[in-house]
Amino acid sequence: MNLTSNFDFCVELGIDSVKEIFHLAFKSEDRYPHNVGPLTRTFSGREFTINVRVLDDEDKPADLSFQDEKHILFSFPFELQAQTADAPDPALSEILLEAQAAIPALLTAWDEDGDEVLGLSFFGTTSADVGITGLSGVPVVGVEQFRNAVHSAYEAMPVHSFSSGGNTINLYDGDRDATLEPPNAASPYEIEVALETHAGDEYLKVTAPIHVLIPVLPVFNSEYSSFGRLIFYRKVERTDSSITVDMTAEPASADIATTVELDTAHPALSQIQSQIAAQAIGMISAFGVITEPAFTETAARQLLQDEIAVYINTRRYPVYSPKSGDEDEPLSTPVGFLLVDDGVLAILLNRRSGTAADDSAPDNFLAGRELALAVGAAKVQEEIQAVIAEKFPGVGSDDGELIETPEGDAVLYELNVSLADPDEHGESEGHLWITGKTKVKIDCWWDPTVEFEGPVFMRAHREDSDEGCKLIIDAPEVGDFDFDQSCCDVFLEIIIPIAGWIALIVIEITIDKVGGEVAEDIANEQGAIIEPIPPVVNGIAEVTSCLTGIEVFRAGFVFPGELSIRRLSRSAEDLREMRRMPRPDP
Amino acid sequence: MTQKKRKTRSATAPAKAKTKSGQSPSKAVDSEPARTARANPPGRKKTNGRDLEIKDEKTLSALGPQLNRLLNARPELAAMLFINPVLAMKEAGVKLSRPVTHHILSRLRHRPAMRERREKLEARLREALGEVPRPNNPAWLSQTLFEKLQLPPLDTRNLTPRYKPAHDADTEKRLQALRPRRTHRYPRLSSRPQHTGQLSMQAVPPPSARRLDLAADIPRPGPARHPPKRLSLEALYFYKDSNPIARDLLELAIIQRRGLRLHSRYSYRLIKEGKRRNVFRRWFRKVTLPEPESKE
Repeated sequence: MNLTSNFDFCVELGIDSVKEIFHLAFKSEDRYPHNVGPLTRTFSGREFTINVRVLDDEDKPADLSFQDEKHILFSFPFELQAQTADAPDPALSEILLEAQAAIPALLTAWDEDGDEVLGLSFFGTTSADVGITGLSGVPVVGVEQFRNAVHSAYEAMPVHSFSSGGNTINLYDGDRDATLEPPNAASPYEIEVALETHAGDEYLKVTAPIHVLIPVLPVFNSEYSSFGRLIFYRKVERTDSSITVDMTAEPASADIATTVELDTAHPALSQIQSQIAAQAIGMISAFGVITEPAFTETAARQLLQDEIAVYINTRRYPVYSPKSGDEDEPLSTPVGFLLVDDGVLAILLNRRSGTAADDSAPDNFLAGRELALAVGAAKVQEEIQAVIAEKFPGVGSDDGELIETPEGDAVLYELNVSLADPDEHGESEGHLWITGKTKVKIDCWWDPTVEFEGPVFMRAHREDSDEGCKLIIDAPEVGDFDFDQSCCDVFLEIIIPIAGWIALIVIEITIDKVGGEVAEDIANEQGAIIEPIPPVVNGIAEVTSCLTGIEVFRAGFVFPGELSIRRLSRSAEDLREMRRMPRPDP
Repeated sequence: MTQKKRKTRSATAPAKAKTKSGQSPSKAVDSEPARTARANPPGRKKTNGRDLEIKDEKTLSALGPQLNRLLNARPELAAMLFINPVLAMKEAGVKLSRPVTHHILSRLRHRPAMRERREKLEARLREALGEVPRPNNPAWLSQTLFEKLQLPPLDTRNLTPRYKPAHDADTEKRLQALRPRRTHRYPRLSSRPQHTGQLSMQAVPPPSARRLDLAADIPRPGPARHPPKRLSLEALYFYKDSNPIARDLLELAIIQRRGLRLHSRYSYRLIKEGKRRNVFRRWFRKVTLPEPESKE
C-alpha cells in the first residue's frame, strides 16, 4: 500500500467532507457573491441589462464531483436575466436563461495570510471551460411573437390613417385605434401574421385590415369606399441574438409583392386595388424595422459561458489551511491529489524525496471513513531509531546496552523495529516486527545469547467526555504475553515501552506536521491537548476532528478519525433560519 | 565491557570459571582436546552413549561447557530453558540429581539478594502467622488479614496503587525531548469548545505487581462495610501502612511474582507442543549458550 508516496505525511478526506466545505464556502458572499449585476451588454445593436444569480439551495443545489487527479468539476445552477427596454414584443423584453454550469476548478496551493493553503481555484477559467447543461428560457420567436411585435409596432405608429392624392387608407388592428372613421369592420379584424418561405428565404406575411376611401374615382367620377385587406411580405433576418423584419423593404419578387383586396365590387376593382397597393407600400414603412431580442440556443449558451467565466475566474477557496505556529519552521506546501474512483481527497505534506515532478497520488487508506492521517514508513523508522537511541543508547555498539533489573540483568546488543502488513509473519493484523539480540545474565550459569523476534500490536481507542474526544494509546500487545507474569515483564519492558513511545511521538509529530495542533501537555498524564488537523478552514469553516485508532502497515501508520464541519460565522440566511434576525428597536 | 558489567558478572556467576588464558567463558574457544578432556571428569556418571548424569554442584560446574554444547545442538530446546531449565536439560539427555535440580531451580528463580530477602520475609511471616505464607492466594490473604489479624476492611474500590515508573528520570527526559514543541496556532473561537481532542498514552508498560511502589505515601482509604472474600495484591497494597505483617505479605507477594516462573512437566509439554501459548516460546528464535574451555 502506498500511504504517503514520496512525502512523509498524508491526510485523506472523503468527498462528502469536501462537499460540506464547498457548500459553506459558497455561503460566504464575499468569496461567492450570489448576485452579480446589473451589467450592460449590447447585442445586435440593442442594449441589454444583465443580472446573474448563482444558486445553491434545496431546489437548485450546487454540487461537485472529482474530475481527475487535480480537478474538481463544480456544477452551479445559474440564472441569467437579460432585459431590454424597447423590445417590440413585450414578452421578449426580459429573458431569463437558466442553466446548470459545469466548471472545473484546479486543486492547488497558494499563499493566504502568509500560510500555504490547499484549495480549489477557478483562476484562469475561460468561456470554453464552462460546460452548460439543462439550458432553459431560450425564447422561441414564432408567429405569436411576430404578431405581438406587429401589434406593438402598430400602437407605436403616430397615425393609422394615411392620405395620398386625396385617397385615404385606414390601417386597422382590431380596435387598437378607436378614433378611426369609419370604425373597423374589415376582415380580418386584427392584423394577422404568418411565416412563409419563398425561394428559400423566410418571410413574414402580414394581413392587415384596411378601409379605403377614394372621393372621386377617375373616369367613373364617383366615390369609392371599401373595407378590405392589405397583404404584404417582409423578409425575416435572424441572427444569434435577434430577429429583424425591415418593414420598409418591399420584396423584389412579384410573387410576394404587396397586394390589396377590397370587399366592395366595382368594374375597376383591379385597377383600384393596384393603385391602393402602390400607395400602401409607403404606409407599411411606418411600421419601421422590427427587431426582437431572440437568442438562439447557441448564442444563449455562449452568453452564459461568457458571463459565468467572468464571474468565476477570480474565485477560489481554501479546503485545507494549516498553520505552522512557528515562524521559523514553516509547514511545507500541501500537495493535493484526487482519487477519483474512491472519492478521496489526499493531501500530502513534507516531500521526502524528488521534486514536484515526481509527486504521485497515494492509495486510498481512508476506507470509507471521514478522516485518516498517515505517516510514511521512512518517517516512522526515523522516530523508531530516535526512540531506541534515547532509551537504549548502547544498542548497536560492541558493548551493547546494559539493562539492570532486580530480577536479572541483560545486555541488549541489537534491537530492530520494522513495520509489517496484515498477514505477514502469520499475523492477520498489521504490526511492529521486533527483532533483537541480547545476552541474559544468569547467576549460576553461563550467559545465554538470545535472539528474539515477534510481533507487537499497536492499540488505541477513542473515549468521549464533556471536554471532547480523546485518543488513548493503549499498552501495545505482544500476543502471547501474560503481562503480570514474573520475569516476562522484564523482557517485555525492553519492547513495550518503546512501542508506546513510538506511537505517542509519531502521532504528535504527524499532527504537528500536517498543521494540526499539539497545544499543551495534559497534567499528570503522558499526553497532550490536540487538534488532529487544522481546526479551521480560512474564513469558511470550523472543523472538529477526532482520532479513533492506530493501524500499522508496512508502508507506515494510519490514524483513522472522524470529523464534523460547520460554518465559521453565521450569515443573515443562517440567522433567518434560526429566527434570530435582529429586530428594530421598539 | 564496562567495569560495572564486570562487577555484576563476578558477583553473580561463581560457576563461570575463567579459562586458563584469562578469557571470559563466553569468548573462550572450545578446542577439540579440551572437549576430549572434559568427556570423563570425576563425579560424572556416564549412563549410556549419549546421556550425562550430574550428581553434585561441582560436576555441574565442571560439565557446564559440555552441557551448553549439548543444548546448543538442540535448538528446539533453547527457548524451553526459560520454561523449565531442568526439564529442558533432561530432554537434552542430562540427568540431574535431586540436589542439583533444587540448586538450579532455586538459583534461577531469584537472584541472591532477592532470594535472601524472600527467605527472611518467609521466616518472619511463618513465625508471625504460624503457617507458610501464601500472599499470592487471594482467598488465603483475605482470611489472614481479616480473620487472623482482625484488620478492619478498607474500601479500596476505584483506587489504583502507585507504581514505579518504567523509565528513569533521565531517560524520560530524553524521550520527552523527541516530542514536538507545543504551539498555539489557531484562535480559540467562542463557538467551539476550548479544544476538541486529547491524546494520551496509557501507562506503558501496564502496571504490574513488579513495579508496585512500596515506599509511596498513600492516603488511607475509608472503611469498607464487609471484608472481601478474596483480596488481590492491588487491594493488599492499601493495607501496607496499616500493619507491618500486611506490608511483609505484600513485599513477599511481589518477590514471589518477580521470580522466574518455572512450569510444571505438564505445562512444559503443552508449551513445547504448541498447545499452550508462551511468550518465550513465541519470541525466542535462537538461544546460544557459550561453550568455553574448562580447566584441564
